[in-house]
Amino acid sequence: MKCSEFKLLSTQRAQLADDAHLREQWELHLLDCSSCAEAFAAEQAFASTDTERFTQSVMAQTIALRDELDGKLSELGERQVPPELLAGVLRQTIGVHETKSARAKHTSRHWAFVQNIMLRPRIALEASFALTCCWALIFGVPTELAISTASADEQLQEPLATSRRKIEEFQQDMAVLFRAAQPERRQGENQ
Amino acid sequence: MQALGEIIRLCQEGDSAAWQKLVERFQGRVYAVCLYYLHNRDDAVDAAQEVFVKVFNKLDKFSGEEDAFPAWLLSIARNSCIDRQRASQTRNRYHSDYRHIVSDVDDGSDPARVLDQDQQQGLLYRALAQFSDVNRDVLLLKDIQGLKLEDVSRILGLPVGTIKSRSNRARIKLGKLLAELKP
Repeated sequence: MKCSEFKLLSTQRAQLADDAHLREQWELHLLDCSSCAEAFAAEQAFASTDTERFTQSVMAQTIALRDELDGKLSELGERQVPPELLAGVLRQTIGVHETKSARAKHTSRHWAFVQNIMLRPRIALEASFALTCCWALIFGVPTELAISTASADEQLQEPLATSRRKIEEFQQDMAVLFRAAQPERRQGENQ
Repeated sequence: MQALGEIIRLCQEGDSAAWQKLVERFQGRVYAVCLYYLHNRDDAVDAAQEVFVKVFNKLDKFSGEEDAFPAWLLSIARNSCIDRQRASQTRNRYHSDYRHIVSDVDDGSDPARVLDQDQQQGLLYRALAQFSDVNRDVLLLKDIQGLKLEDVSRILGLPVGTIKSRSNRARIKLGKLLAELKP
């Protein structure tokens, strides 16, 4: 419906009341065309005795109603999402994606895995032991550094004899002192 | 906020973080579309996941401007939901299970406010149940999701003028129905 037709029909209420299809067209235009809706509201305000209330009523049925409806409809446009949705989507999509990239970075991933293993203390200790064994098998044990029992015995004989001699001297000194102290002790007991 | 075009480009290059951002940005709208058609929380979650998997696989083929992305995404969501409805033969079963699609997430909001909002949305869904499929599609894409008339026209295969008139009529009918349904 054109604006001119709307204005004409606005003055012919009887015709609007009789024809449902025409009234629907008129209402459509009233909702769709802001300038006609405002002009209609203003005209009705002049014609009415209770102008303010009538204007509010018309505006409520047109522009305000449209705004209210827009607000209600837009509320349905975006809903609060259950948390499992995002997790599910990422599991089904990025999971696949990561596998693809893993294939591309095959070598670097394996090297990272080896590094990760080798940096663990327990693994590092065992690895060093294994390397030592390998070294001994290949190059042999360095026996010239080992101390033989015979030479160790010879080396220990002299300090051992010295220690024994000192202990014997100490025992003899103690015996002399003990004997000297015995008569004095008896005299003291008799007194 | 990062530009949508940049996020889409990064996603096409295989950036996982960008893909997560894209999903986070549009999951609410896709979920709303799925709820609108399927009227059931669990079905809607499944359908929304399916939509994003399709988008992930087809994203390389998307060559439009960033403005065209929401329409492309929502058209995939709509088609997926219609396929699901056909599969479960519930296309015309726009039943009164609207209670299942409100209050489906406990976000710790004030119960009185949530109840009021639920009642209003329940009324809206009851009113929408009385529309034809095409008019419901027009209301969803143009008035609820706010897509451009040209995009709605392309998705539904109808002329722009038809979309506009159908939208206006549907809105008038919806306003009247809401007034009738109000307690």
